[in-house]
Amino acid sequence: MTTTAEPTIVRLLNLLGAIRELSSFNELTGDEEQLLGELLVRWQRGEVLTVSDVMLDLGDRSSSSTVYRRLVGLQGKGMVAFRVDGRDKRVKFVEPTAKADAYVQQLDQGLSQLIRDAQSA
Amino acid sequence: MTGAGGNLLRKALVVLGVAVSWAVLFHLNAVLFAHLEHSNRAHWIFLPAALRVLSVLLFQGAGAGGLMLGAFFTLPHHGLASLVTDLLISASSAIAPLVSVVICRRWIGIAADLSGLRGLHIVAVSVLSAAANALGLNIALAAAGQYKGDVEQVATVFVGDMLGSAIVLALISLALSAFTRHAARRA
Repeated sequence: MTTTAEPTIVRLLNLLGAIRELSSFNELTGDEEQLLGELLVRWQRGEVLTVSDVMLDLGDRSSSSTVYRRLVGLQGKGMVAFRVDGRDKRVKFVEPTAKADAYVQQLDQGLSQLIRDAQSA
Repeated sequence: MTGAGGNLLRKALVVLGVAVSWAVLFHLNAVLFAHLEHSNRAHWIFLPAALRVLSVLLFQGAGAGGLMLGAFFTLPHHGLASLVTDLLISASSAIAPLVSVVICRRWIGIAADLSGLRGLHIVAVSVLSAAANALGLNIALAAAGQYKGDVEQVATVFVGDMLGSAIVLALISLALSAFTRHAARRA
């Protein structure tokens, strides 16, 4: 993060972000990973999703409140962001963050490496 | 207040704040882990060690100044005769994290504004700082003619700094995770 903010504040925010990484609570649970995977597929198709859409359509056979908890978990871990609709403040869109994009890239690199290893074997 | 005067005041406040934080952690460590004291200069768990790395990463030179001041005031003093020893030990407490951060900045490529800093980088700096402090403290004691060949003391300081840093960083990390989850639920 580089901004015009006070340098110490910038260093503090970057430091706190790094310290937060140390906790294993920042790792995604299996259910969160599954939900994120479903979201990524939908976003890849160009779908625009609201929180209600996610609660009703995604998350396997789990209840909508369970899916909402997982979605909030993803938000807490920086994978998704909620954006309030400018026209109807009751509607919140679920959008990917830079961290989710980085996660996709990591998966892509991992898969590419696996394919290369398999081909060279 | 702006300009050089304001800058100086800010740095003075940083030095004071770090020194006070050091003293608080030092006394907390003494209360919680008194039974893990190897000597009055070496503890098997030393919580203030985390402050060394965090202060220097965050406040650079001013952080090191605060560490030196805090270390000086929490040392057991034995009058003017021990003043030089105390100053040497206090200085080594500040120099160790400074050297570690400088080395890691060049080795790992930590930016001045800490952008791109990862958790593992903090671990690397903490390990290096613990090693530098363990050596530095005993070199300072040797320079003052007070090193008694206690090799276990070197190991104790290293392990104590590592464990102290790990405990404090783990607690901060857990608190941040809990705060973020709580904030996300309320959003």
